[in-house]
Amino acid sequence: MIGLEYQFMQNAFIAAILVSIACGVVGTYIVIKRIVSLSGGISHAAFGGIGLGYFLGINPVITAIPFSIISAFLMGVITRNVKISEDTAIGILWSVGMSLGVIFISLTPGYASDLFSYLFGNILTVTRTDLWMMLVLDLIIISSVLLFNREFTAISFDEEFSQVIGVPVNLFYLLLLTLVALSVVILIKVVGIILVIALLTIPAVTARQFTFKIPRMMILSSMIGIIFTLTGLWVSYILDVSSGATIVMILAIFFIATYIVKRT
Amino acid sequence: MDKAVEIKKLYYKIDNKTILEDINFEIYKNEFLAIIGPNGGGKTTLLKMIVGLLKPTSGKIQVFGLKPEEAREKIGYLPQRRHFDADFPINVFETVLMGCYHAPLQGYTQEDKEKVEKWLERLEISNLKDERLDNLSGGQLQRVFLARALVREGELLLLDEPTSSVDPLFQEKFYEILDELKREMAIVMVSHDIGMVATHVDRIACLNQRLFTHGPPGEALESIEDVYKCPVELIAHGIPHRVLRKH
Repeated sequence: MIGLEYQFMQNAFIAAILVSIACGVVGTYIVIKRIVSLSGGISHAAFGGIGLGYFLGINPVITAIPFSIISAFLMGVITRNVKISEDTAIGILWSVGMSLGVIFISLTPGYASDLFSYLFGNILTVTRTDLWMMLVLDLIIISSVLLFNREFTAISFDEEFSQVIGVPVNLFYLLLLTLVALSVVILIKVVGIILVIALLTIPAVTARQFTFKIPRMMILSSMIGIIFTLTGLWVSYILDVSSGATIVMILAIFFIATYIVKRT
Repeated sequence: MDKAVEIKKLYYKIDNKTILEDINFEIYKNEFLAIIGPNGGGKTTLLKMIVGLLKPTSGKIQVFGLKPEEAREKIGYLPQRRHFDADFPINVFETVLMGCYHAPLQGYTQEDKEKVEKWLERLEISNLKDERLDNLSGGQLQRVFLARALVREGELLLLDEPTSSVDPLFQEKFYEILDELKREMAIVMVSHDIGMVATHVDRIACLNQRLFTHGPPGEALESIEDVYKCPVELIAHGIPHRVLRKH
């Protein structure tokens, strides 16, 4: 691939693979459990963590981890226990998270130089440290799914029945949202907070058209993610445009094309 | 006779609105009880309490002498199919296998898989085991969910409107299956289908916030009109139940 002789392109190449794995695995649950809006809320609320990182003067992705997990827990608990509709709760937490991020950044002296890359992503800015963090988070996600796929599948399919057969539904629901939060963190550098939800849904929903088995859907979704993230990276390099947005556009075009072909 | 379920002085309220009031009754092993009553009368709520999904505001429920949540191993449950996602990526075998769930980190065993095969065969859907759920008819789908409830091989089967949205031919077959199953377990079924219920069950309980009666079908049918405030002929002919409370 063009530019692979550069360190930043090598990092971007590895990052594309690592994020696609997280997207393929967690995105499958997001699609089949139909928690796309909730996941979108978690990703936007994560901006509070980015702002906190700026304010504290540490890597914003590090502070985004606990912030995203807390946001996920709040989303999970509030949408189930407070008597307001789920979409209202998501809307409130989403905007509160982003507002906190803006306030933290406003309170931080100086100019937030690379803020734009956290909002819209820039895979070319991924560092070796980011790659190690992505790898660790990927391992956490994969281990959790290998250990608890039965529970995640059960609660995604039928929560009421799952409770009757003894699945700790609330625990695994919160664990699933935690995995969504970790995936969001992995993706921030690549596509940015605004576009995270695209990578968490488009590869999975595309894979869904070709297979009816959850594990195969995860693998196919990861492969689609890898191929089209790298394609997007290459196209963005050639055209000198934003990598995150290009990746999302290419994924969306592929999804639309496969959707039309499958139905004709 | 051994009690499968015992309910004493049960009340259930939400936001100061009484849903169930002073419910008292027992269900015995190898008994087939139907709970009928108008929409909003509390039938599904009562079933969810027996299975431990809801907790009563006051009163006592015991299932085989235990709290409902402690007796779940002994309960098979077929919930209503209102919010079912037919497009979910899962086939018939996997759906039924889900009923064998043990605990986190404990996988399904070979014995579990053999049980699934057994119940698929017994409910005459072995040929569908690799089918996707969205390819099944309403009746086939209901058999799959019945198999999922039965594969736990419990001693109490709870059915929430199992014959709604299935064709009449399957309804008859479904009751034949239940007639066979009641030799092995206690069955509690919530239903609107008064005509069918009367010919197959041992007792009928009429529920409209309070439990009006719980006797054999002939005796119970006499008091159904009081519960519904509507002639039983109208109810049996499928008049939409949502209007009945206004009669």
